[in-house]
Amino acid sequence: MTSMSDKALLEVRSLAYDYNGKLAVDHINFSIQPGEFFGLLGPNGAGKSTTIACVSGLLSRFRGEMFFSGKSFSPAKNLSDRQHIGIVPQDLAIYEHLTARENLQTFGGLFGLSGKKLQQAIDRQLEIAGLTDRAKDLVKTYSGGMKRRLNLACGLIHQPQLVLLDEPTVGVDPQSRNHLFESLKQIQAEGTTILYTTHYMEEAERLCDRIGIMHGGKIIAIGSAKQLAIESGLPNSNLEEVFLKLTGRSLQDS
Amino acid sequence: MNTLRCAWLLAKKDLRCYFRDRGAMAVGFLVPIALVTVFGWIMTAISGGGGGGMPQATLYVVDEAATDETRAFVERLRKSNMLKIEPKPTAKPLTRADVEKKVADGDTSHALVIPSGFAISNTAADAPKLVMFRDPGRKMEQQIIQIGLFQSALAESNGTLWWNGLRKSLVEAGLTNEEVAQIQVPANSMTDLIGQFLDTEKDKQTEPSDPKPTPDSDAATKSPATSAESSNSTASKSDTDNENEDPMAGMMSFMLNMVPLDDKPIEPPSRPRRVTYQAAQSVAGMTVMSLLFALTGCASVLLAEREKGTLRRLFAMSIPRESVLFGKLLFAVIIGIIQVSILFVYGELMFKVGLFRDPLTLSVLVLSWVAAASSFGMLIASAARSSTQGDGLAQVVILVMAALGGCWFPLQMMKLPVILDIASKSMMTYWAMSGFQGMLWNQLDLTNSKMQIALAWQWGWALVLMSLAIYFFRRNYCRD
Repeated sequence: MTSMSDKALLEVRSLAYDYNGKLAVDHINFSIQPGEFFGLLGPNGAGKSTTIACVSGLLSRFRGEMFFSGKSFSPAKNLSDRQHIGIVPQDLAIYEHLTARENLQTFGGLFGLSGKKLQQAIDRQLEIAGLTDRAKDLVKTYSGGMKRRLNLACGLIHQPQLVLLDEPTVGVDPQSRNHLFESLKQIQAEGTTILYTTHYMEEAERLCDRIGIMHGGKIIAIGSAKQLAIESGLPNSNLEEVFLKLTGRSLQDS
Repeated sequence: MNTLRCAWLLAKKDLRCYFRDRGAMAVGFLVPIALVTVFGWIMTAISGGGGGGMPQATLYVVDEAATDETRAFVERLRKSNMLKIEPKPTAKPLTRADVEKKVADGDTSHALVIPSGFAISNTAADAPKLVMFRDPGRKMEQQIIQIGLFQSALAESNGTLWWNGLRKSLVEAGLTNEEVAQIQVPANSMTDLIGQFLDTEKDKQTEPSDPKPTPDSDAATKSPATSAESSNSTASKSDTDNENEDPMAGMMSFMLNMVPLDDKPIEPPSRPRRVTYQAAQSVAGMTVMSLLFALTGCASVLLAEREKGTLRRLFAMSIPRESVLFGKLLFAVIIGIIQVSILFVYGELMFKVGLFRDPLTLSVLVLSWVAAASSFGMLIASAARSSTQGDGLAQVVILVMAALGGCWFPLQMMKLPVILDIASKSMMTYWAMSGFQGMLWNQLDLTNSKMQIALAWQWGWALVLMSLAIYFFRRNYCRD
């Protein structure tokens, strides 16, 4: 089976996922173009992380279809499909008793890299993360920001076509956040496609080419920040006001 | 807000959290009850089942004579608080060769054969004597068995052995036959008194027993020299060197002068002279138990990775999820082999127990136990919901398995309830101890059936535990 929209790198059709009968993701549709920075914006519990988990293959009981470069995509079943994806979790999913280089070696090796290719990939990621000088130090000696950068580098070590970032700036100081944004813009400029979830409006507005606003497991609006403002009838407002208008002002956690 | 109120509010919060965490509740309340129960049983078993305050020793008995008198003697042995007589009356009787092999293989430390023609009060030089196959290194069991055997034999002889033994000791002490004859009259009176006392004791126990003849005056008047030649003692033969070190040895020698016994020590020729049973038990027991702790700790890395989030990242990579479990297993096995190698080198330097005498057997034993212990660790890590729960569960199970498997005390000295006895012999720790003890103490190798059975049990446990670990891993880690 192939996608109707052959141009999209990732196309998600009618994706649904329920936890004990409660729909966390309610038949959502979206597509991401190659090289695009696509954001899923929504309050806590909107279904952003569940969507990321379905796309990354962490969850398998979802309904709906996914296509990658026009071809059927089932990362939960086909391990080879995961090779196209890099995931950067919200937690610092790195090993503190290893050095940055050893962390990258481990994750690169598990993605099938070896020898000179692996060393080149490690050197490149260390450079992007600004960790070349500290590459041989144990991660437990790093600052929080350095760990965040390494966390990102580990998700990029195999040069995936699509990078999934699940709220990567939660609890991160402004300097580290800024460095992360610059790194993301750099990898986007190199052609990598990014799917980014956040509940910070300014991040979405600053980084994303297009934004899907999630609410109650559904995507209730999709487009660029400017398009969303116009479509919501608030053409001169910022994304936060648009978001509040679309999702309501009551507390959203369910 | 005052300090006391703050303290109360914080305590109330912690109490709520505690009582809502079922795992913590189980560790906090049920586990101590379970531990008290199991260790209470074990300690009672070690101290002789609560009756005698003495540990028990296992003694295999073969009654080749099968007369009423010898059957009564075996029954008397069974009633001793210090002896655990095997095989049970309902079990298939063993032969002399069977029990000799059991001693050689380390299945038991002592085995008694009652030969054809044996009569307990007949101490004539040419009369058949009891035959004792024994492991000379098992000194604690030896002392217990000597006392139990002496008491039973003395009681069953209605006091005859008392005078025979006394006379023999007096002659050994330098008295002439004439001098011994002069004290025979008061000695006979004492023999009568002992006989009456023993009869009274028998009546109290209301047990069926055959009436015994009165003390045989012929036996009492036989040549002391002849009697001395005819009896032998377990303490006086091969353990002469140790008598000076053992305050009980003189008493043992005296007591066993009264029991006509042919001593047959069985000791592997390759057993290092410096090795003691206690050292071999200690090295084997601590190796088995410490590896269980260490490898369970290694396996709990799986839980730590889940809690930290690295497992989620691994699961999103293009690798099968089971490979994560097998990676942890491999890690535990490698660590186990390194740890046990260091432990054995140290143990060899310290205790000279001859660990490296048979490298092949040692390697197979180590690998088998590392596989079983690692699989146990993987099961705990796969089944537990948190590292706290896993650690608590592992500690309890390991302590119980170590105690019941014989890592702390020789199981042959315990009188366990039937259920615990069966549980003990089903435990992987029991078979690991059996293997290591077989190699260290009895110098068994891979060709020995006992060793093969011990290895088969360990691999069987490894397979069962690893299968369960895979099941729980798939259930707890691989489902959405």
